[in-house]
Amino acid sequence: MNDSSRAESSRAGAFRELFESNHADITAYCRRRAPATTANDAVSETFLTAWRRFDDIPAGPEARLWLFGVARRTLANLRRSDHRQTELRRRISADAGSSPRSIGDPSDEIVGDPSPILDALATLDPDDREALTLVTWEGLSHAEAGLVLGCSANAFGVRIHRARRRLADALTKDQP
Amino acid sequence: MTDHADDPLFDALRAANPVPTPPLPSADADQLLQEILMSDPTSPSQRDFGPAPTKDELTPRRNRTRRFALTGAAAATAAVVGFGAVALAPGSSTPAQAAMVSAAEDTEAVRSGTAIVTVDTSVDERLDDLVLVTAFDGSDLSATLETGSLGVDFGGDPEVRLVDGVIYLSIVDGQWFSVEDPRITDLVAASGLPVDIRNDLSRAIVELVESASDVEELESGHFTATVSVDEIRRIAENYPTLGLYSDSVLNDNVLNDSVLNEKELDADVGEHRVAIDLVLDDAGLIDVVTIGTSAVDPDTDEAIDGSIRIDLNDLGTPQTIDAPADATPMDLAALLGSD
Repeated sequence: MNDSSRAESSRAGAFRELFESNHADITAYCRRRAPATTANDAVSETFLTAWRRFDDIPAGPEARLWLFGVARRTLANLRRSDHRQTELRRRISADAGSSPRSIGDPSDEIVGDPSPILDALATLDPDDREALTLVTWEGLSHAEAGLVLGCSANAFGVRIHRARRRLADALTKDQP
Repeated sequence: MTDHADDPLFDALRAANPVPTPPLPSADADQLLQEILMSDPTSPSQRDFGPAPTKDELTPRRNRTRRFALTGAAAATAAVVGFGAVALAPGSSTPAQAAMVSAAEDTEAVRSGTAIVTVDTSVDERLDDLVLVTAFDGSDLSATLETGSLGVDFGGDPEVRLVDGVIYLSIVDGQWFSVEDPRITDLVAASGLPVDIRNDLSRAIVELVESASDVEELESGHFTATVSVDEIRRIAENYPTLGLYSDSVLNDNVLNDSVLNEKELDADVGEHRVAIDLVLDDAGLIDVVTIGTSAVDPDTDEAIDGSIRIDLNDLGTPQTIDAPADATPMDLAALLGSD
């Protein structure tokens, strides 16, 4: 085996480890925010991007956060280019009375069964929703979520504090 | 670390997670991995969404043993001065007050954590809440002030960091400056950011509860009390940064922009007292302090409520406060744009 082959083998091995360590989390992240078809496409695109940009991925735990960031952007782009299909799927799902359903702004959907908290969440703007769900659904700390969104932990703290307040306000408004 | 572990609203969101458990490994995942590994990683991509590294990612990280700085308490106490309010005659110490003071002193001894200070500026409906988010770890701190409610566009939220005695300041467009001139403290305070809030300022909240009267423990770990506005002003005078913060943020940007000012509030309230609500966490440390004010607009006879809420989180948890990697050293005169 020459040096080039050895390097390729090493790269593939490292990527395999990255994939196997994070595929489930990234899949869950995408499925929480998009219908299954879009989510699966986003997962594929995310790891393809990671494969192409493997040298750019930070080492250690931040690799997972990097992947969240890629998945977030990938989902947003897929939705923009596939907006009509997404809307059609949502209408079909609603007409059939089936769940899961898609809620909220089509540019940043969340999938879930109907509930007051999700209804309130759907009224928030996408940035607020993403801040709240990164912490509660993905279990990220402020510092980690800040890395995903490209801001400091302090800036994220401001963002989620205000998002929480808006969510509480939305819940109050929804109450009869 | 997961934030907001004991917040009912966040608990409700967690319970509503549509995919609570990540999927198990599947044949589809294996197939995807094989397809990716067989693809040419150097082929051009139509879409490539890797996040650009942030400035913080480029910054070396350090963990050190640090001392406590209760930045939120300081800012909130200053805020009370801006609102004006009330006063009670000093009352005698009670078991409830002793418990409250003990909790404040225990909290003062904590060396790291985060604090969010929310100043409810409903005194003027044109302004949104003022939010200051801080992290502290020993003598290091970071503080970000949300400026949207102030009607001032800095091109981003002003942030200050104090790392190893050096002040890093980002006021405009996210550009960082490092300033070692001690006079920078006044400049930073004038911008509405705390910076000289270190060990002694954690005393502010202790003094606040020490001077409280009418202390009641409504339930275990939940206290109410009142404090005279004169006492609050005295506390602020002991900590110059508080006074600067109060003057710059509240008086200049909030109260002077409304029909009210401090003296009018004082005159109208009559009794000059503010109410304090204090909740302890399971460890007996201060979790939330809310300082409320209530008055009547002398022109409209409408009720005017305001409050300063301090949420203390992650007490005792080390905080990573980085020195910005790309800070430009600058002297004070250059930063001010004048000699």
